[in-house]
Amino acid sequence: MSDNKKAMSENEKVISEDKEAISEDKKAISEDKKLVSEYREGVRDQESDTSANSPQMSELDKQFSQWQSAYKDATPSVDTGSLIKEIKSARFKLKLKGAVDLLLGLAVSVWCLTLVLFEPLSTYQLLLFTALAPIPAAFGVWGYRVRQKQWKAQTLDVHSMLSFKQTQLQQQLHYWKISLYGCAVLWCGLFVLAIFNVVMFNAYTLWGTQLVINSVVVYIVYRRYKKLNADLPSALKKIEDMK
Amino acid sequence: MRGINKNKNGIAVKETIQIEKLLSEYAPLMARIAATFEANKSLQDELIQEMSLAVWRAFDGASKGSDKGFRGEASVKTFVAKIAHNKAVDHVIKEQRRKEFTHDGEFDPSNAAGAGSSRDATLQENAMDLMTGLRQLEIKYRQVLSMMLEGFSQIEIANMLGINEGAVAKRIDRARQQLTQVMEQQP
Repeated sequence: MSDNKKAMSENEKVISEDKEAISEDKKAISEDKKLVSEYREGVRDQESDTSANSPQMSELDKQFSQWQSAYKDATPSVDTGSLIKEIKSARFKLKLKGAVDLLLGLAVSVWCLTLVLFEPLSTYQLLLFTALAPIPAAFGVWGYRVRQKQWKAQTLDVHSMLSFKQTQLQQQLHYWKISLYGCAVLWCGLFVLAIFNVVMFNAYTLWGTQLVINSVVVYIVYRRYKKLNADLPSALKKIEDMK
Repeated sequence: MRGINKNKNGIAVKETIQIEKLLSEYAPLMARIAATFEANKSLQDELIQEMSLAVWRAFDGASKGSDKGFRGEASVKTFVAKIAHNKAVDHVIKEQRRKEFTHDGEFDPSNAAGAGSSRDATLQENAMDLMTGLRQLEIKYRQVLSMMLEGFSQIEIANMLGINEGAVAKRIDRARQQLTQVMEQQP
Protein backbone atom coordinates (compact mmCIF):
# COMPACT_ATOMS: atom_id res chain seq x y z
CA MET A 1 0.00 0.00 0.00
CA SER A 2 2.70 2.28 1.09
CA ASP A 3 4.58 1.45 -2.17
CA ASN A 4 1.47 2.34 -4.16
CA LYS A 5 1.15 5.63 -2.31
CA LYS A 6 4.82 6.38 -2.99
CA ALA A 7 4.37 5.58 -6.67
CA MET A 8 1.28 7.78 -6.84
CA SER A 9 2.98 10.70 -5.14
CA GLU A 10 5.92 10.32 -7.57
CA ASN A 11 3.47 10.26 -10.47
CA GLU A 12 1.84 13.43 -9.16
CA LYS A 13 5.25 15.02 -8.86
CA VAL A 14 6.09 14.10 -12.43
CA ILE A 15 2.72 15.39 -13.59
CA SER A 16 3.16 18.69 -11.76
CA GLU A 17 6.70 19.01 -13.26
CA ASP A 18 5.23 18.33 -16.71
CA LYS A 19 2.56 20.94 -16.07
CA GLU A 20 5.27 23.41 -15.05
CA ALA A 21 7.24 22.59 -18.17
CA ILE A 22 4.11 23.03 -20.30
CA SER A 23 3.34 26.39 -18.68
CA GLU A 24 6.98 27.49 -19.33
CA ASP A 25 6.67 26.36 -22.94
CA LYS A 26 3.44 28.35 -23.21
CA LYS A 27 5.20 31.35 -21.75
CA ALA A 28 8.07 30.97 -24.24
CA ILE A 29 5.59 30.60 -27.11
CA SER A 30 3.70 33.71 -26.03
CA GLU A 31 7.03 35.59 -25.82
CA ASP A 32 7.95 34.36 -29.30
CA LYS A 33 4.54 35.44 -30.54
CA LYS A 34 5.14 38.85 -28.98
CA LEU A 35 8.54 39.10 -30.69
CA VAL A 36 7.08 38.04 -34.02
CA SER A 37 4.30 40.60 -33.72
CA GLU A 38 6.83 43.27 -32.78
CA TYR A 39 8.97 42.32 -35.77
CA ARG A 40 5.93 42.40 -38.03
CA GLU A 41 5.03 45.81 -36.65
CA GLY A 42 8.57 47.03 -37.37
CA VAL A 43 8.47 45.68 -40.89
CA ARG A 44 5.08 47.33 -41.41
CA ASP A 45 6.48 50.63 -40.10
CA GLN A 46 9.50 50.34 -42.36
CA GLU A 47 7.29 49.60 -45.31
CA SER A 48 5.11 52.57 -44.58
CA ASP A 49 8.25 54.77 -44.13
CA THR A 50 9.66 53.61 -47.44
CA SER A 51 6.38 54.15 -49.20
CA ALA A 52 6.17 57.63 -47.68
CA ASN A 53 9.83 58.50 -48.54
CA SER A 54 10.05 57.12 -52.04
CA PRO A 55 7.69 59.67 -53.59
CA GLN A 56 9.61 62.35 -51.69
CA MET A 57 12.91 60.98 -53.00
CA SER A 58 11.66 60.73 -56.53
CA GLU A 59 10.26 64.25 -56.18
CA LEU A 60 13.71 65.51 -55.13
CA ASP A 61 15.39 63.64 -57.96
CA LYS A 62 12.86 65.04 -60.38
CA GLN A 63 13.42 68.56 -59.09
CA PHE A 64 17.19 68.10 -59.32
CA SER A 65 17.08 66.81 -62.88
CA GLN A 66 14.85 69.76 -63.80
CA TRP A 67 17.36 72.15 -62.28
CA GLN A 68 20.17 70.36 -64.06
CA SER A 69 18.57 70.73 -67.47
CA ALA A 70 17.64 74.37 -66.71
CA TYR A 71 21.27 75.00 -65.70
CA LYS A 72 22.51 73.59 -69.00
CA ASP A 73 19.91 75.69 -70.84
CA ALA A 74 21.25 78.80 -69.12
CA THR A 75 24.66 78.41 -70.78
CA PRO A 76 25.62 81.83 -72.14
CA SER A 77 26.72 81.79 -75.76
CA VAL A 78 30.49 82.08 -76.16
CA ASP A 79 32.32 82.95 -79.33
CA THR A 80 35.30 80.65 -78.70
CA GLY A 81 37.21 81.95 -81.73
CA SER A 82 37.26 85.53 -80.52
CA LEU A 83 37.75 84.38 -76.92
CA ILE A 84 40.95 82.54 -77.87
CA LYS A 85 42.13 85.57 -79.87
CA GLU A 86 41.58 87.83 -76.87
CA ILE A 87 43.33 85.38 -74.55
CA LYS A 88 46.32 85.22 -76.86
CA SER A 89 46.55 88.98 -76.94
CA ALA A 90 46.10 89.25 -73.16
CA ARG A 91 48.82 86.63 -72.65
CA PHE A 92 51.17 88.49 -74.97
CA LYS A 93 50.51 91.78 -73.14
CA LEU A 94 51.11 90.15 -69.77
CA LYS A 95 54.36 88.58 -70.94
CA LEU A 96 55.47 91.88 -72.49
CA LYS A 97 54.61 93.80 -69.32
CA GLY A 98 56.53 91.31 -67.18
CA ALA A 99 59.56 91.43 -69.48
CA VAL A 100 59.51 95.26 -69.65
CA ASP A 101 59.27 95.52 -65.85
CA LEU A 102 62.17 93.15 -65.38
CA LEU A 103 64.32 94.76 -68.12
CA LEU A 104 63.71 98.29 -66.84
CA GLY A 105 64.70 97.24 -63.33
CA LEU A 106 67.83 95.54 -64.65
CA ALA A 107 68.68 98.55 -66.85
CA VAL A 108 68.54 100.96 -63.91
CA SER A 109 70.64 98.59 -61.79
CA VAL A 110 73.20 98.20 -64.58
CA TRP A 111 73.31 101.98 -65.04
CA CYS A 112 73.98 102.52 -61.31
CA LEU A 113 76.64 99.80 -61.36
CA THR A 114 78.33 101.38 -64.43
CA LEU A 115 78.47 104.72 -62.62
CA VAL A 116 79.98 103.10 -59.53
CA LEU A 117 82.58 101.13 -61.50
CA PHE A 118 83.58 103.44 -64.31
CA GLU A 119 82.78 107.05 -63.34
CA PRO A 120 84.78 109.27 -61.00
CA LEU A 121 82.36 109.85 -58.13
CA SER A 122 82.56 111.57 -54.77
CA THR A 123 82.33 109.37 -51.66
CA TYR A 124 78.75 110.48 -51.07
CA GLN A 125 77.74 109.66 -54.68
CA LEU A 126 79.60 106.34 -54.57
CA LEU A 127 77.75 105.30 -51.44
CA LEU A 128 74.41 106.46 -52.84
CA PHE A 129 74.74 104.64 -56.19
CA THR A 130 76.16 101.50 -54.54
CA ALA A 131 73.13 101.40 -52.26
CA LEU A 132 70.73 102.12 -55.15
CA ALA A 133 72.18 99.59 -57.64
CA PRO A 134 70.53 96.37 -56.38
CA ILE A 135 67.14 97.94 -55.52
CA PRO A 136 65.51 98.12 -59.02
CA ALA A 137 66.65 94.62 -60.01
CA ALA A 138 65.53 93.22 -56.65
CA PHE A 139 62.19 95.00 -57.05
CA GLY A 140 61.74 93.47 -60.53
CA VAL A 141 62.51 89.97 -59.23
CA TRP A 142 60.17 90.49 -56.26
CA GLY A 143 57.34 91.63 -58.59
CA TYR A 144 57.90 88.57 -60.79
CA ARG A 145 57.72 86.24 -57.78
CA VAL A 146 54.55 87.90 -56.47
CA ARG A 147 52.87 87.44 -59.87
CA GLN A 148 53.95 83.79 -60.00
CA LYS A 149 52.52 83.24 -56.52
CA GLN A 150 49.21 84.80 -57.57
CA TRP A 151 49.00 82.53 -60.60
CA LYS A 152 49.84 79.53 -58.49
CA ALA A 153 47.03 80.39 -56.09
CA GLN A 154 44.53 80.00 -58.94
CA THR A 155 45.29 76.31 -59.22
CA LEU A 156 44.77 75.62 -55.50
CA ASP A 157 41.48 74.38 -54.09
CA VAL A 158 38.95 77.11 -53.27
CA HIS A 159 39.53 76.90 -49.49
CA SER A 160 43.31 77.33 -49.85
CA MET A 161 42.85 80.09 -52.40
CA LEU A 162 40.62 81.99 -49.97
CA SER A 163 43.21 81.55 -47.20
CA PHE A 164 45.80 82.90 -49.63
CA LYS A 165 43.56 85.93 -50.27
CA GLN A 166 43.28 86.56 -46.53
CA THR A 167 47.05 86.42 -46.12
CA GLN A 168 47.41 88.73 -49.10
CA LEU A 169 45.10 91.30 -47.49
CA GLN A 170 47.07 91.15 -44.24
CA GLN A 171 50.34 91.51 -46.16
CA GLN A 172 48.94 94.45 -48.09
CA LEU A 173 48.23 96.25 -44.81
CA HIS A 174 51.72 95.36 -43.60
CA TYR A 175 53.30 96.89 -46.76
CA TRP A 176 51.33 100.11 -46.30
CA LYS A 177 52.39 100.26 -42.66
CA ILE A 178 56.05 99.87 -43.66
CA SER A 179 55.54 102.50 -46.40
CA LEU A 180 54.04 104.86 -43.85
CA TYR A 181 57.02 104.43 -41.50
CA GLY A 182 59.42 104.87 -44.44
CA CYS A 183 57.66 108.05 -45.59
CA ALA A 184 57.58 109.41 -42.05
CA VAL A 185 61.34 108.75 -41.59
CA LEU A 186 62.06 110.43 -44.95
CA TRP A 187 59.92 113.41 -43.95
CA CYS A 188 61.82 113.75 -40.66
CA GLY A 189 65.17 113.60 -42.50
CA LEU A 190 63.93 116.20 -44.96
CA PHE A 191 62.71 118.36 -42.09
CA VAL A 192 66.17 118.32 -40.45
CA LEU A 193 67.80 119.17 -43.79
CA ALA A 194 65.24 121.93 -44.39
CA ILE A 195 65.96 123.53 -41.01
CA PHE A 196 69.70 123.33 -41.67
CA ASN A 197 69.36 124.88 -45.15
CA VAL A 198 66.94 127.58 -44.04
CA VAL A 199 69.16 128.59 -41.11
CA MET A 200 72.41 128.42 -43.08
CA PHE A 201 71.35 129.59 -46.55
CA ASN A 202 67.89 131.18 -46.15
CA ALA A 203 66.51 128.74 -48.76
CA TYR A 204 62.89 129.04 -47.64
CA THR A 205 61.10 128.47 -50.96
CA LEU A 206 62.97 125.36 -52.13
CA TRP A 207 62.93 123.48 -48.81
CA GLY A 208 59.46 124.70 -47.87
CA THR A 209 58.04 123.38 -51.15
CA GLN A 210 59.80 120.04 -50.69
CA LEU A 211 58.44 119.71 -47.18
CA VAL A 212 54.87 120.54 -48.30
CA ILE A 213 55.00 118.02 -51.17
CA ASN A 214 56.38 115.35 -48.85
CA SER A 215 53.76 116.14 -46.23
CA VAL A 216 51.05 115.50 -48.84
CA VAL A 217 52.65 112.14 -49.71
CA VAL A 218 52.85 111.17 -46.02
CA TYR A 219 49.22 112.20 -45.51
CA ILE A 220 48.00 110.14 -48.51
CA VAL A 221 49.93 107.07 -47.34
CA TYR A 222 48.58 107.58 -43.80
CA ARG A 223 44.95 107.85 -45.05
CA ARG A 224 45.36 104.75 -47.19
CA TYR A 225 46.83 102.80 -44.30
CA LYS A 226 44.04 103.89 -41.93
CA LYS A 227 41.36 102.99 -44.52
CA LEU A 228 42.84 99.53 -45.13
CA ASN A 229 43.26 98.97 -41.41
CA ALA A 230 39.62 99.85 -40.78
CA ASP A 231 38.36 97.71 -43.69
CA LEU A 232 40.51 94.66 -42.96
CA PRO A 233 38.32 92.90 -40.34
CA SER A 234 35.17 93.05 -42.48
CA ALA A 235 37.11 92.04 -45.61
CA LEU A 236 38.59 89.05 -43.77
CA LYS A 237 35.17 88.09 -42.42
CA LYS A 238 33.59 88.23 -45.87
CA ILE A 239 36.24 85.85 -47.18
CA GLU A 240 35.85 83.62 -44.12
CA ASP A 241 32.11 83.40 -44.83
CA MET A 242 32.86 82.09 -48.31
CA LYS A 243 34.89 79.18 -46.96
CA MET B 1 70.92 74.21 -82.53
CA ARG B 2 68.52 75.41 -85.20
CA GLY B 3 67.10 71.91 -85.34
CA ILE B 4 66.46 71.94 -81.60
CA ASN B 5 64.78 75.35 -81.82
CA LYS B 6 62.64 74.14 -84.68
CA ASN B 7 61.69 71.10 -82.65
CA LYS B 8 60.91 73.23 -79.61
CA ASN B 9 58.80 75.57 -81.72
CA GLY B 10 56.97 72.59 -83.16
CA ILE B 11 56.15 71.29 -79.66
CA ALA B 12 55.08 74.77 -78.56
CA VAL B 13 52.73 75.10 -81.55
CA LYS B 14 51.29 71.64 -80.84
CA GLU B 15 50.72 72.56 -77.21
CA THR B 16 49.10 75.85 -78.17
CA ILE B 17 46.71 74.01 -80.48
CA GLN B 18 45.91 71.51 -77.70
CA ILE B 19 45.23 74.29 -75.18
CA GLU B 20 43.05 76.11 -77.74
CA LYS B 21 41.08 72.90 -78.28
CA LEU B 22 40.70 72.47 -74.56
CA LEU B 23 39.48 76.03 -74.11
CA SER B 24 36.94 75.60 -76.89
CA GLU B 25 35.71 72.40 -75.25
CA TYR B 26 35.37 73.88 -71.78
CA ALA B 27 34.24 77.41 -72.72
CA PRO B 28 30.53 76.57 -72.06
CA LEU B 29 31.45 75.17 -68.61
CA MET B 30 33.34 78.37 -67.76
CA ALA B 31 30.52 80.49 -69.16
CA ARG B 32 27.98 78.72 -66.93
CA ILE B 33 30.18 79.23 -63.86
CA ALA B 34 30.65 82.89 -64.78
CA ALA B 35 26.88 83.31 -65.20
CA THR B 36 26.33 81.74 -61.76
CA PHE B 37 28.49 84.37 -60.10
CA GLU B 38 27.93 87.45 -62.27
CA ALA B 39 24.65 88.69 -63.74
CA ASN B 40 26.08 91.63 -65.65
CA LYS B 41 26.85 90.57 -69.23
CA SER B 42 30.00 92.63 -69.80
CA LEU B 43 31.46 91.63 -66.44
CA GLN B 44 30.53 88.04 -67.24
CA ASP B 45 32.54 88.21 -70.48
CA GLU B 46 35.46 89.71 -68.61
CA LEU B 47 35.27 86.89 -66.07
CA ILE B 48 35.21 84.21 -68.80
CA GLN B 49 38.35 85.79 -70.27
CA GLU B 50 40.08 85.80 -66.90
CA MET B 51 39.13 82.16 -66.35
CA SER B 52 40.40 81.16 -69.81
CA LEU B 53 43.65 83.01 -69.29
CA ALA B 54 44.17 81.32 -65.92
CA VAL B 55 43.43 77.90 -67.46
CA TRP B 56 45.90 78.61 -70.28
CA ARG B 57 48.59 79.67 -67.79
CA ALA B 58 47.99 76.55 -65.70
CA PHE B 59 48.35 74.18 -68.66
CA ASP B 60 51.30 76.22 -69.93
CA GLY B 61 52.93 75.73 -66.53
CA ALA B 62 52.27 72.00 -66.76
CA SER B 63 53.91 71.72 -70.16
CA LYS B 64 56.99 73.55 -68.86
CA GLY B 65 57.26 71.17 -65.92
CA SER B 66 56.40 73.87 -63.41
CA ASP B 67 54.90 72.85 -60.06
CA LYS B 68 51.92 75.12 -60.48
CA GLY B 69 50.28 73.50 -63.48
CA PHE B 70 48.07 70.53 -64.18
CA ARG B 71 49.68 67.40 -62.76
CA GLY B 72 47.13 64.88 -63.91
CA GLU B 73 45.90 64.15 -60.38
CA ALA B 74 42.35 65.15 -61.29
CA SER B 75 40.37 64.99 -64.50
CA VAL B 76 40.88 67.88 -66.90
CA LYS B 77 37.25 68.93 -66.39
CA THR B 78 37.70 69.06 -62.61
CA PHE B 79 40.91 71.04 -62.97
CA VAL B 80 39.31 73.56 -65.33
CA ALA B 81 36.25 73.90 -63.07
CA LYS B 82 38.46 74.42 -60.03
CA ILE B 83 40.35 77.27 -61.71
CA ALA B 84 37.09 78.76 -63.00
CA HIS B 85 35.54 78.68 -59.52
CA ASN B 86 38.66 80.23 -58.00
CA LYS B 87 38.51 83.03 -60.54
CA ALA B 88 34.79 83.49 -59.91
CA VAL B 89 35.32 83.78 -56.15
CA ASP B 90 38.22 86.16 -56.76
CA HIS B 91 35.90 88.22 -58.96
CA VAL B 92 33.24 88.34 -56.23
CA ILE B 93 35.82 89.51 -53.67
CA LYS B 94 36.99 92.27 -56.03
CA GLU B 95 33.43 93.32 -56.79
CA GLN B 96 32.62 93.36 -53.07
CA ARG B 97 35.53 95.67 -52.52
CA ARG B 98 34.46 97.91 -55.39
CA LYS B 99 30.88 98.11 -54.27
CA GLU B 100 28.74 96.05 -51.95
CA PHE B 101 27.87 93.02 -54.03
CA THR B 102 24.42 93.65 -55.35
CA HIS B 103 22.34 91.30 -57.39
CA ASP B 104 21.76 93.94 -59.99
CA GLY B 105 21.29 92.92 -63.56
CA GLU B 106 19.41 89.86 -64.54
CA PHE B 107 20.18 86.87 -66.66
CA ASP B 108 19.81 87.94 -70.24
CA PRO B 109 17.82 85.27 -72.07
CA SER B 110 19.16 86.41 -75.40
CA ASN B 111 22.56 85.54 -74.04
CA ALA B 112 21.77 81.84 -73.68
CA ALA B 113 23.00 79.38 -76.26
CA GLY B 114 20.39 78.70 -78.85
CA ALA B 115 18.40 81.80 -78.03
CA GLY B 116 16.46 83.04 -81.01
CA SER B 117 16.05 79.49 -82.27
CA SER B 118 12.94 77.44 -81.64
CA ARG B 119 13.87 76.82 -78.01
CA ASP B 120 10.85 76.63 -75.85
CA ALA B 121 10.09 79.88 -74.00
CA THR B 122 9.25 77.93 -70.87
CA LEU B 123 12.68 76.34 -70.83
CA GLN B 124 14.29 79.75 -71.09
CA GLU B 125 12.11 81.03 -68.31
CA ASN B 126 13.08 78.06 -66.14
CA ALA B 127 16.75 78.68 -66.87
CA MET B 128 16.34 82.36 -66.01
CA ASP B 129 14.54 81.55 -62.76
CA LEU B 130 17.20 79.04 -61.76
CA MET B 131 20.09 81.42 -62.42
CA THR B 132 18.35 84.26 -60.57
CA GLY B 133 17.72 81.89 -57.67
CA LEU B 134 21.29 80.59 -57.66
CA ARG B 135 22.70 84.11 -57.54
CA GLN B 136 20.70 84.80 -54.40
CA LEU B 137 22.39 81.98 -52.50
CA GLU B 138 25.47 82.43 -50.33
CA ILE B 139 28.69 81.86 -52.26
CA LYS B 140 29.49 78.54 -50.57
CA TYR B 141 26.03 77.16 -51.37
CA ARG B 142 26.15 78.56 -54.89
CA GLN B 143 29.46 76.78 -55.44
CA VAL B 144 28.41 73.31 -54.34
CA LEU B 145 25.10 73.48 -56.12
CA SER B 146 26.55 74.69 -59.42
CA MET B 147 29.21 71.96 -59.23
CA MET B 148 26.53 69.38 -58.50
CA LEU B 149 24.40 70.65 -61.39
CA GLU B 150 27.48 70.43 -63.59
CA GLY B 151 27.56 66.71 -62.78
CA PHE B 152 30.52 66.49 -60.42
CA SER B 153 30.53 63.83 -57.71
CA GLN B 154 30.76 64.72 -54.01
CA ILE B 155 34.41 63.56 -53.88
CA GLU B 156 35.30 65.77 -56.83
CA ILE B 157 33.50 68.73 -55.23
CA ALA B 158 35.32 68.09 -51.95
CA ASN B 159 38.66 68.10 -53.80
CA MET B 160 37.84 71.28 -55.66
CA LEU B 161 36.71 73.10 -52.55
CA GLY B 162 39.33 71.68 -50.19
CA ILE B 163 36.78 70.47 -47.63
CA ASN B 164 35.68 66.98 -46.57
CA GLU B 165 32.87 64.99 -48.15
CA GLY B 166 30.63 65.27 -45.10
CA ALA B 167 30.77 69.04 -45.26
CA VAL B 168 29.97 68.90 -48.98
CA ALA B 169 26.91 66.71 -48.33
CA LYS B 170 25.68 69.11 -45.64
CA ARG B 171 26.19 72.12 -47.89
CA ILE B 172 24.40 70.46 -50.78
CA ASP B 173 21.46 69.68 -48.53
CA ARG B 174 21.21 73.25 -47.25
CA ALA B 175 21.79 74.69 -50.69
CA ARG B 176 18.92 72.63 -52.11
CA GLN B 177 16.62 73.75 -49.32
CA GLN B 178 17.58 77.39 -49.78
CA LEU B 179 17.21 77.26 -53.54
CA THR B 180 13.80 75.58 -53.23
CA GLN B 181 12.69 78.37 -50.89
CA VAL B 182 14.05 81.09 -53.15
CA MET B 183 12.41 79.54 -56.23
CA GLU B 184 9.08 79.29 -54.41
CA GLN B 185 9.25 82.97 -53.45
CA GLN B 186 9.90 84.00 -57.05
CA PRO B 187 6.83 85.36 -58.80
